[in-house]
Amino acid sequence: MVSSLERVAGRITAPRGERILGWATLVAMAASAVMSLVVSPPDAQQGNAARLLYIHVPSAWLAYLSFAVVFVASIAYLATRRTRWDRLAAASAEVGVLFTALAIALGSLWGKPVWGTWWTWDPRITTTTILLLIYVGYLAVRRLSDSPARRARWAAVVGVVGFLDVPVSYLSVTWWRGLHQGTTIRLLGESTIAPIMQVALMTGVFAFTLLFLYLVTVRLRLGRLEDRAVAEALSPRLGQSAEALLEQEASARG
Amino acid sequence: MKRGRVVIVLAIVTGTLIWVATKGLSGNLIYYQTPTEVLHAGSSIVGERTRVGGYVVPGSVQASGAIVRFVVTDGTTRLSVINTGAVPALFSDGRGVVLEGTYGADGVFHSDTLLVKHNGLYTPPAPGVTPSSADLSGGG
Amino acid sequence: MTLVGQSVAIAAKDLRIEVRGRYALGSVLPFAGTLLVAFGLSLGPGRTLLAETAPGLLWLAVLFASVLSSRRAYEHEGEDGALEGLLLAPIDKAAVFIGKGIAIAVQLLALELAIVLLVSGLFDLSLAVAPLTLVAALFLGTIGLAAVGSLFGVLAEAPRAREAVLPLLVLPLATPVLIAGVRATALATAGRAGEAGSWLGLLLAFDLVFVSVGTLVFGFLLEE
Repeated sequence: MVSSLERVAGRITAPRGERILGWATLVAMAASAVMSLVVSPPDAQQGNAARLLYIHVPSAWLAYLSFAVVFVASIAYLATRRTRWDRLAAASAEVGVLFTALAIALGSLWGKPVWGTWWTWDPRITTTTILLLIYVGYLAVRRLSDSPARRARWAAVVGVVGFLDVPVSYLSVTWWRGLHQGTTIRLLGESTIAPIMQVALMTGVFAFTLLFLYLVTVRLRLGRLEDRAVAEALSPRLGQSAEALLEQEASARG
Repeated sequence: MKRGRVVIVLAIVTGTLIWVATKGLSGNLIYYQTPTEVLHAGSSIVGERTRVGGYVVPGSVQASGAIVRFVVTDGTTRLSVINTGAVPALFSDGRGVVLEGTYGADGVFHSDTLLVKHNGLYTPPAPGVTPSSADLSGGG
Repeated sequence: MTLVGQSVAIAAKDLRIEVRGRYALGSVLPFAGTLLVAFGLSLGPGRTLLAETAPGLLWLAVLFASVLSSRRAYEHEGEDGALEGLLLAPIDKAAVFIGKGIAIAVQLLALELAIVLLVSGLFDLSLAVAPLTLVAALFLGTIGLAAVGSLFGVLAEAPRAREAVLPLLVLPLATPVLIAGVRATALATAGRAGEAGSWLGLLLAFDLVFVSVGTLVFGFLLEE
């Protein structure tokens, strides 16, 4: 299973796949912008502020998706010791930190007009913030070691442990926010959304997922170049010069 | 790595996480008290900081300067509220709200934080109606 | 030697070093005390606010003490190639994790005794209401903190390690310990120990996850 996954990943991250992915992302993002800003009507209660839904929810989805990818890639690295899994974990963590911060910032902007506050210690918001801090720590650990192999092992351990910490943190924060046991009236019912807004939201989620794949692909290529440059610097007679590698990469893409 | 150890660790972690998940989703946990609970608790919670959730009784909202008076209900009990904090743009009759503050000896809930619970409903406005844009006017 | 025997041997070695060097007693405890006085100065002198925040301040002091102790647990391994010696020793790598964890936990428990007395004196925390719940919360929380510290303390010995990396990693990971520990302590000292059960369960869940996963993955951190 692992090898077939690697094959698919290899095809996407090839220069041609990356170019196609880039264009697909651009088209999907444009479609999402049109859906969110033009096609979707304003919300009956919130007016235009509700349009934040179409970027806030996809960002939050990417936050959790990317750290799940870090978790799986970290386990795969520890099991196979292939550098590509470590590069995938690193790429996904960097993109994930970006979108987690974006989701929190957008949620805060949205919370002010709708709830009346920039910040509330709501379980989901608080857990997302803890998630962000854990993966900022993950990126800090990646900068600790000079040895690539050791860096990859350390990061993989943090990637696994950090992900397992998230459900426990979520439970603790949920209980912490509760007053005490008892029954409650449901102010927050099942979420219902008008069909056209649902379509706009799905477009946003799809476009952001493509964006995630594209950013990870670009970061993977960068990681490969970095590794080759390091290898070349360490053994100049065996490898080609870094400039030659960059030119080769550029001509393959152009 | 010892295979037996991997199996034991996986079993412990899976078991613990399942316990955590069932606990987390059991949902008998509340974030606020209802007006009924507040009035039942009565004098025992006077002066204690707490949160109350309920629906705004239509027609009960009176604004005077920065202070807003209204009544919240959970369907059975009504509780008067004096709010001194910021009022979000979504606040209106019939809305679900969560208030943070203290229950006073005068039988009134003095809140300084008013949060509007969004009901998770997203719909286009009725034909011919322009929704008041909540974007920039909020918070005042 | 079995895993248990090896772990105990490493714990005994670390505790012997501590007894001879007195780092926890000479540096960590004064630091915790200074921290508590600083908390008092920043929040006081109103007694009600201090009494309300006392459980939180207690656990913050414990948390910072755990970061310092876990850093120390690997600091002396960095000298004279001691870590290489430990790696070459014919022992299970997991024993290093468990042994160091035990040593950190024992030091922390000793520190907590002093911290609790200090908090009780400075901030009016009533200890006698439900001492068993209080001890259970501190014990379970300490195991979790020691596991996290024993697992990641070794990172602080990296050639390019920055002082901030260990707390940056440990503090967010320890969120459940902080919240559950503070809640259980607050309930125990307010005479509502009966409600603390789920918090103690959460601390136990954290301990189980971190001790078991740590045993499994610690070897990856040490490999060369």
